[in-house]
Amino acid sequence: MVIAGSSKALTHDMYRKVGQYRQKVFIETLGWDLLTMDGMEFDQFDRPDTLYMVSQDDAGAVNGCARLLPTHQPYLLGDVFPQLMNGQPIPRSPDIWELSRFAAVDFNARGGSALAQFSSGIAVQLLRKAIACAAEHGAKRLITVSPIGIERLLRHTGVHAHRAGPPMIVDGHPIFACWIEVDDVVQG
Amino acid sequence: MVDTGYIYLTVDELCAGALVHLISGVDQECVFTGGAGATATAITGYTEWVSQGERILTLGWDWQMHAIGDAVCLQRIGPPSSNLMLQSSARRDLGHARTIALLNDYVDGFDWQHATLGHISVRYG
Repeated sequence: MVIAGSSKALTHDMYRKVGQYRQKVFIETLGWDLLTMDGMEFDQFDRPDTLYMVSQDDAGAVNGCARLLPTHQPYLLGDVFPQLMNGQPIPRSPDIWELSRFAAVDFNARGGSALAQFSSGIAVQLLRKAIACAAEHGAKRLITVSPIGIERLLRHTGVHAHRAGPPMIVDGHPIFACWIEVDDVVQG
Repeated sequence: MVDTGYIYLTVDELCAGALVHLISGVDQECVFTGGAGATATAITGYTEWVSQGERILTLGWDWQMHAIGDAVCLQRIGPPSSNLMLQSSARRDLGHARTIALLNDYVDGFDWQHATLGHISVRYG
């Protein structure tokens, strides 16, 4: 099950679960150097207008999440990684939204890994839900800052996407900016 | 006009330029599943290449390692990802599918394996 909504729409308990899940995925598993507080990973882009997608298993445990931000407000790529745009203008438009903090690691499943997350059914469902949710809020395109592994998911999902620029090596791992077209998913 | 984010080149322009190796890696499962009882069924990874210049062309693809006798070789698996839209000589976009097909041929036509294997040997050796 995937639920979507702003931080105000999520229950306090669900919001905490999202922060704890992100800490487990991005800090403990992937080793990203991110802010953490009380066992939860949140940053300056987790605001009242931020949209969240949360996937849960049958027992209610979080097994996937994603975050959507409109690019006419402060967002991750524009404020932290503008160099990933390869010299192109930084997107600043209400019809371009950013997808970030995408994860679909099921810690209760055997054999899960940070890479395998990008080929799981949870990931496909979460990505489709995120794109549809962004479209409902006026998005015509998405831009994402992600590990390059997400391209496998984009291909697997059949989403039309292409790179905005070359990867940048952060902590030994390549991350990049990628354009995602919403039309195929919304019409499909 | 909408900025698509693409770099537009003809096939001849693509072939006239040179790509340089950026980074390659082995998939995490292959690196970390070698413990007791684990059996490696395939070693796979990625490689990333870029052009020089103001607007950088980026090209990356996945590969699988094979053993041929005493030697190992890498084979591309899956289509390349890029920021490139190929055009005809008349400067008409060839489209996503045709661009991917031509990039498949382009990647398979140059020796990327040597640099990739060398990088992996240093990184994981």
